[in-house]
Amino acid sequence: MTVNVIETEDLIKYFGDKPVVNKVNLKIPEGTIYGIVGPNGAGKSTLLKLIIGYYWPTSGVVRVKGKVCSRDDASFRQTIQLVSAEWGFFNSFRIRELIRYYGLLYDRFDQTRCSRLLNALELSNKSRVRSLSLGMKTQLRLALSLASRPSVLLLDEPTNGLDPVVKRQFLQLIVQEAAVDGTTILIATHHLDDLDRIADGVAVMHKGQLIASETMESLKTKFKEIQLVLPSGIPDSIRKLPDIISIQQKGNYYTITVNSSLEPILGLLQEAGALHLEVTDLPFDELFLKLMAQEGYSRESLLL
Amino acid sequence: MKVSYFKTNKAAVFREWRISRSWWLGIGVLSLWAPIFNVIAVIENLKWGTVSQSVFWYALVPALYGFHSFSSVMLPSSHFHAYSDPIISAVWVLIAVIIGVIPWATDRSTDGIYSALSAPIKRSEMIFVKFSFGLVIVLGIQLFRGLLLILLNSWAGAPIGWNLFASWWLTNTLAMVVAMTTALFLASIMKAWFFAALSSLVVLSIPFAIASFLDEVIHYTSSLWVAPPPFASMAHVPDPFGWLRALSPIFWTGEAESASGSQMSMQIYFSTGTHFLFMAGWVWIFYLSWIVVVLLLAIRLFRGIPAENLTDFFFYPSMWKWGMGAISILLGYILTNGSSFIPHYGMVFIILFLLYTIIIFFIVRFLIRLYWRIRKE
Repeated sequence: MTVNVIETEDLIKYFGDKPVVNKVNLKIPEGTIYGIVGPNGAGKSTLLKLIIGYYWPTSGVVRVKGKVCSRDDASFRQTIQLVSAEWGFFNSFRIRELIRYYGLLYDRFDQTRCSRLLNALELSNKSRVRSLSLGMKTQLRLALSLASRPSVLLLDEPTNGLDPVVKRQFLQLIVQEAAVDGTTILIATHHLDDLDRIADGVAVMHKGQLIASETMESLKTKFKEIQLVLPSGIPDSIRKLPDIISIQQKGNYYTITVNSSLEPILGLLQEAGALHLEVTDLPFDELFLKLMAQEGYSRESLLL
Repeated sequence: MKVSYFKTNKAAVFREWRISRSWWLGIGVLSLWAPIFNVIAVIENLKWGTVSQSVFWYALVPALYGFHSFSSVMLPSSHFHAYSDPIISAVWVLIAVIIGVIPWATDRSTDGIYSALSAPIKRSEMIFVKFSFGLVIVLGIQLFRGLLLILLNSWAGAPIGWNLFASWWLTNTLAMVVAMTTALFLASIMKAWFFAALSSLVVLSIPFAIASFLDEVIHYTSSLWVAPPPFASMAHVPDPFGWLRALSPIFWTGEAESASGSQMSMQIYFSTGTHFLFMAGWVWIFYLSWIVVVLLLAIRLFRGIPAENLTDFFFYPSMWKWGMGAISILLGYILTNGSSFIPHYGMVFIILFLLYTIIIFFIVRFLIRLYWRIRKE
């Protein structure tokens, strides 16, 4: 049975008279890597801060491992951590002092794991945090958080400021280390390509509302692309099928996007004389846009 | 899972020490001025020929002095110098206020507060740890000052009795903790540490300002009263405020000057030990109550501040008006009566005081609005 490690119930957060998070019902299964995507101002970061109890909900409930997070109880934060690039990070500390602080702060802090991670990142214990680049600071935070062995790790725009090579290493590190302890990871980002490689599921936010939540598997099977050559053109009977989302044509070469089981459509295409039929997965950003289009959101309104 | 609160507390203590240690060092350096202050007090008072008493007065005042009721002011105006000693006392009050404000100032300037509020540290623990650090620093300073007092008194040829020394030490230490706790409380509900420090001085001095104001009103309007009874009893109206003056250590200068000609010297109080202990006891109880109430208030209010309000100037928007009013009254008071060099002119003083207060209120309001406009642009 799937256990949800994070659950929100009709979660609402107002800043002034503006709802920043509006009736969000989110369920994140244990041990998964989930992405929260959405344009700037969608409420992604606020949602993460509500989950960790930094912000208090205007109404609604957050449960972490089945326990309702109350504002007077800081103990549940032993099992959940937030890494946010937005917040300052003890610039005057040396790394060894940060290690000591995390060791005192978190019951499950693993010194050996911390040393191993810092070695992998080539960070010296004697360095001051202020001497590190933005990317290195983010990696340091992640290393310290992973060494604290949280059950849930919340990452807010973790790849901001990272170059492509470091970004790839960083994401690999997240996947590897999350697998060791079965840590559940929730990543808020507007870099869709980050999630493509690592996420098990994705939740989409728009103007404070959760407008979709799907596993990557179901999302990938939901939309497929068929490439084919059809000299006689696509018959109207196929064009009018409700499961066909779009058809692009370049001479006799067609690209058809569908969102249902492929077999009936492939059968019809073969009957119509299709040549070189090839079925491919859509890239994640395209999948995302198709999903949003299906929910009634235009491409322009979702500019990330 | 079993949660170790003790371990979490140790983390909060480590964090507090690490982010504020250079400031604590600065305060330590500042307290090295203590010998210089002490020597000034002695040298200044040598001119008056009352070395030992002056040292004692410098040390004991203002707490006990401030505790007298208003309608029965008794002052040893011939026994201490009215100008140097108050300044020295004011310095220590200021240091105590800075000690109270530092932990919050460093937390804000390093943005450490955000990660602390998302870590397994309770808000009440944050306040308590900051208070504990302040307490340790105040105790350190007071031990240093105590040692110097003993040495100076011995040098002046009038060793201080242990009972009086203990009374001095406890009274002054508690007075500094009162100032520190008040500043800590205000800094916990304000973002701008400078205004928190300024407001602390206002809070610590405003009871005296109110008491002084009422005293002036009653004194200078008494001639207008038709008959002694029942109006004569009104002379005692400010008395309860006299108790609050124990929190107003920086404003005893003016009173020292104005109350010359009192019938009974404070010296008599100290020669009758029972009376002294009775008064001192009340001072200590009053100070301790103040410390506990303000600390609990700080914890209660800070626990209720939503994180999104931490970016506001005042975490509680309604405090704008209170803060402005308090700052205006303080400045008004300082300009009209805060200095011993400005003589009292009865009703003129009262009118001036009100006039200044109103003017300053508008100036402060203008400056705050200007600040916000510039910030928005």
